[in-house]
Amino acid sequence: MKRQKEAMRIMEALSGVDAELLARCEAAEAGGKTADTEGVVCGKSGKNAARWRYLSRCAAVLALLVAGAVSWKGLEMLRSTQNDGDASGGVPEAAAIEYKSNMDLDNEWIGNGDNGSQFPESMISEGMITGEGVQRGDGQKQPASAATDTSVNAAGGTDLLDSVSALGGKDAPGVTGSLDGTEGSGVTGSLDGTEGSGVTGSLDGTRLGCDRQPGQTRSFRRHRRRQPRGRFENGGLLHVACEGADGGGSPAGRASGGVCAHSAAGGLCL
Amino acid sequence: MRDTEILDLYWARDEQAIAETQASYGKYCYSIAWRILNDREDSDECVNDTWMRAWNAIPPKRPERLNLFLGAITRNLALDRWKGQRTMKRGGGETMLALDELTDCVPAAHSTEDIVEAGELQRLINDFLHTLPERECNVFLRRYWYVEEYEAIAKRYGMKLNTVKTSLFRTRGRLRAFLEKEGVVL
Repeated sequence: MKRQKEAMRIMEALSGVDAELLARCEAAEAGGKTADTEGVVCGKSGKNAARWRYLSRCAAVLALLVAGAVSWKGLEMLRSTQNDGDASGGVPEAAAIEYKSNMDLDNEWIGNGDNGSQFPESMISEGMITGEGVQRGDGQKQPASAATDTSVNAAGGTDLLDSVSALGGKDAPGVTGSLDGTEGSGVTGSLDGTEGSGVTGSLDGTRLGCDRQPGQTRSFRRHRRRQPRGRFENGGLLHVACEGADGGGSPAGRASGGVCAHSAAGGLCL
Repeated sequence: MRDTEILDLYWARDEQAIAETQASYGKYCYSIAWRILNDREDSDECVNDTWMRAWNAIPPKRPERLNLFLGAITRNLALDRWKGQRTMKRGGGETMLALDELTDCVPAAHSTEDIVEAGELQRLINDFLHTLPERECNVFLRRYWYVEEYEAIAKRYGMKLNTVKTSLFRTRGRLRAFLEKEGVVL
């Protein structure tokens, strides 16, 4: 009891505390106003709280600036990488090798451009192509004209099937155009027929299964993602999308003289 | 209405000063009284007594911060009322009331001595509070001047509840050591 009485004396002595200290205490809550349970308007935050809020806002702004700078730097690096890729051809080695192999194959099949029915010497030497036709991977033989439809469908040779000649290669003395990599993607080349009625068009939108329209540019990364998977069949890359179709993509389909729907649409089915 | 205008009304002995004071600082004073007394009627009476005290004190006084002046009056009145209630509960009869009435007969010298001691104690406590860091001082005043709850203090200053308790515990220990060093005997 006595201690409580002494405590009360301290409590009463606190009534005489300096107005300066009380004013500082009041000012420390000047950051906001709120009401307690009795509806009494009291300050909510003190000076320190307001200072910390200010610092936290500054920290948040600084963090945003740093994040923005980092992301911008990353974007710049990505752009520079793409530019470097474009400047150097923009084709990774694997894609370049794959494309080159296809190019070589096409060139062999196309020949000098005089006659698209000429077969690569390598295939002849390996016995895959005889005077009677082409020996398929499954051991069956196929007429030479039928064998060309899946891989050299745009060659424009006179001995090709009708589907091939529909591409304008029937009367063409040769396709003098070449596959040119113009954008670094390695697949933007076009097959141009000099005299053909239909081969003169660009085949940009159809090669390698790309849905790109002629004249439409595309970055390499996106194009590579959409590059179809395939497997080599008879030296050529068989289009997976065409493989299961009834057309010439599948061995059975080609054996029966079918034409890949992709090829029939004017595309270069690899 | 601004404090200076209210004080001008007091100095002009215009009763409108009471109404303006009630409008501006009624809730503030009521909150102080309610935290000490925890009773609505007693708090209302305490606030009304505050206006009467202020009416009698102004003039001649002209406080720089009217809210602190009124708050101090309210706090003293509430503490006096609280002590009176406590005496009533403890006694539980006419005996304690009689004893309290007899305290009026206590010689004035004793009262003067108490006043001097109280004044000295106020000075020491002020000195002690000036030695405290700002936050600890504010927390201490919030707890023992405004009689706020721990949770309210923690929320007000964005502190954890245990941090507030720890701060108050350490400040009490410092005050005790300070008073002992100064030779204060309560």
